Amino acid sequence: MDHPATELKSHKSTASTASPWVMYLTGKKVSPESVFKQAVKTVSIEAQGRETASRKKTRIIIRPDDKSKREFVDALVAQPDGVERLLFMLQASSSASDVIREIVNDLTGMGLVRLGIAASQEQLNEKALRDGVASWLDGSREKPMQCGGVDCLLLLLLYGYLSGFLDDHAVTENLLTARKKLWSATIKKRPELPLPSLLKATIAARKTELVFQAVLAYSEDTWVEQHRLESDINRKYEQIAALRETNAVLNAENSDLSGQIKTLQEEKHAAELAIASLQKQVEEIRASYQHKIDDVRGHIRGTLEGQLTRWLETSLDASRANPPRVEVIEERLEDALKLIEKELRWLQPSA
Amino acid sequence: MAATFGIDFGTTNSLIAVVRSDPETGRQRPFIFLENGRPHPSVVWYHGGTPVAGRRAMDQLSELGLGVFGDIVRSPKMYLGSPAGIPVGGVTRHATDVVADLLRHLRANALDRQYGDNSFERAVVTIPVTMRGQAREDLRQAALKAGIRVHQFVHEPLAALYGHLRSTPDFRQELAGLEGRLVLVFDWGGGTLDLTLCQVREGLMSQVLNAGDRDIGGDFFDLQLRQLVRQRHEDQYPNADLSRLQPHADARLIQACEDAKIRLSARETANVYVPDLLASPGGEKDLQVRIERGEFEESVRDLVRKGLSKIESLLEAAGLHRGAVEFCLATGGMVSMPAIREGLREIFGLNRLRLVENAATVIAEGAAWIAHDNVGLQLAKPIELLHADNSYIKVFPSGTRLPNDGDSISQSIDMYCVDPSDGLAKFYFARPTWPGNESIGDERTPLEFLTIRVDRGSQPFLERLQVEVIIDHNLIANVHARSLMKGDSQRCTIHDLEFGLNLDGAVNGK
Repeated sequence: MDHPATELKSHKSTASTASPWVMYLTGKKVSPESVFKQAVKTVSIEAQGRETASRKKTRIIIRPDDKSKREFVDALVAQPDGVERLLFMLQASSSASDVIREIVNDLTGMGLVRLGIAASQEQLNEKALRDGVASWLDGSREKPMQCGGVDCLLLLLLYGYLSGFLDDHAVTENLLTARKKLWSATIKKRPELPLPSLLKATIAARKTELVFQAVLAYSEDTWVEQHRLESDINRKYEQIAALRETNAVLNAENSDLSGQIKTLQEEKHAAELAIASLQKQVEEIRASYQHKIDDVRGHIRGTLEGQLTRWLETSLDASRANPPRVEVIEERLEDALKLIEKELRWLQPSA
Repeated sequence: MAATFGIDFGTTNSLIAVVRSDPETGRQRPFIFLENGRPHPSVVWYHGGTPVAGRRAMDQLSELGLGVFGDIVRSPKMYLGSPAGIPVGGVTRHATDVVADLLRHLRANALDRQYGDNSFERAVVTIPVTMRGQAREDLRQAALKAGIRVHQFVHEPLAALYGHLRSTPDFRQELAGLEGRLVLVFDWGGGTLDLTLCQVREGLMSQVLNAGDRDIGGDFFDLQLRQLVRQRHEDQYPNADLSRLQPHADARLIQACEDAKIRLSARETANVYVPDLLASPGGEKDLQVRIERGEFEESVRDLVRKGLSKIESLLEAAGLHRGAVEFCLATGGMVSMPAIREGLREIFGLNRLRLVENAATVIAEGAAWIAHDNVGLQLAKPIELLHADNSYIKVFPSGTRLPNDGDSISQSIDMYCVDPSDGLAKFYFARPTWPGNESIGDERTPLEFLTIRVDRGSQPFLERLQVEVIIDHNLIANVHARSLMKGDSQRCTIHDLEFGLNLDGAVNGK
């Protein structure tokens, strides 16, 4: 929020009513921004020119005086939610003007001194802040820090961060440590949230503790979900590993089976060739036997129809002749007998 | 793949064979396609225009000899290569048609006995050594008409020798033992006597020299015997009129004489008996003549002597002594005649005479083995062209693989005309007379002479000449010569190339 106000250092506050800063802690709850607005007053001031003098109106921020400051720190320790209200103001000042930030920072420093973090504002340095945080985290909240709420811790951390005494890392680390202490009984394992986002969310939030708890709850849910997902992933990895192992076994079996298939195919091909060859041999053998049988038949038929018949016919003719041609008959019959003997020899298996 | 068959296309008989496994021995061997146990006579009878071939046609013959007898053609292959037709049964038929009828009969007979889905489409066909290119071409055409593709021709004596060697127990050893040696194939069949001097040299089985005689075939022996029988009958019955023959009596007489001739090969006497020979009432009508073997041999002594003398003539022509012949392979039906066997024994001795039992089928078996072993042909002697410097250019060197069915080989030669002064370029083709003697001074046998016109006015070595020689599957060399300036072109053919069997692929095991 922009506050285009001009500070007039020479101006002295003339307000007789309670300071808005004190009222912020003691009165009805209002937004820190409204306090910041109340601190701004419009005044008329005399401007001295070269030739003529003139008056003009301007806006100034009224700083709390020492009395208001004392009342502010008194109210801080007296009011039950004083620390919470200061924390809200400190958060809101981060986006306010430099003067407002300076005022709020000053008031917070005084408040922290009053809460026992340091003996004086000058001693409110990094070490004092770290000791305060450590004290809070150790549980010895009364010494040196006389405040036990989470808001006290947040106030310490936020002040240290805005003052430059604590860096992002230190703030976040302490926040996580605090979270551990607050939820250690129920959380076995903490989720690792991104630190800058946690810090920013904490600083930007109004209801800091609620937001903080919501963030933690979210973190918890996220962690649980992440844990579940990790478990799922681990199971999946185990399943993948098991599947890979199964796959390797199957691949090996597949390779074996492929080899067996190839061997069987080769054997099948060889068997087919052998069958074809045997079939051809069978055909040849059948043809050759048939050829031999035909040869035997043809040979016998040729012998019977040819020479034998002719010779017997000649013998018959010669026997019917007058006188019978005995010499011819004898010769033909002799030839016929010789031929029959020869054919019988030919029909022997060894022939 | 269907088997390639072997065909012995003989003068008097023809045979078909194919190599297949013998079921009893498990070995490959030739199977012969016989007709009732006998070869197919090379006879075609045109019975009312319908061709009848083989034994049935032979049974119609009443005359001996070769040629045309009425409507019967015996040995039609002798007409191949002649442009004139064959006048048979009142019709002039082309020789290729008559041969095709015979081959068709042979093929049908073989197909009847081809069991299973075997086919008969290709064959190695044997031919006489003297068969010229045109006759080979006609034979191929005739075979094609009968449904047979001639895979390759092979000379009959080479087929006989290959068939004989292939049937020996150790074929390779036999071949190796014959390297550089000479073998005489003495084939005395019913139609012709063929003598071929063969040599196995550097993986090539080829003929060195051949001789033949068509006038002393077995039929002439039958004629002599018939003449003797008739003469003896006339002596018995001086008044017998032998012109008054009963129908078909001559055929019966021929058959009786053939039976007697066969009997006389094994016995000393034979009775020729033909009842009712003559249309006469007396005793002369029946013929009965007793013939002694010596008597018969005396009647054919001149034929035997003439045939055996061919051996000496052949060897003399080759400049060889009979001792140079490793052995004589005697084939053909006539070598079973005792007088001829004795004559051969006298010439070659017992150890160098091989009288094979399968003399009637060995040529067909050889052709079948050649088909089975895929034995190719190659040039036995180079085809040479005489060069101007009296050297010979080898157009095709010896050993050139010759083409099979459907293929051809070619060679082109470019040269220049050396002497155009007479306006002619001359091409003289020759071959060495003797195998292996291919030097410049060695004797040459002319093949062809060809002249073409050239530009008479041109300078020597100016006009280019081109010669292309193509050898076709009929083993005919077709020559085409051209003069490129004059533009003349002439062709000629060389028919009598000498070729042999390339034995490199012939050892496929038993």
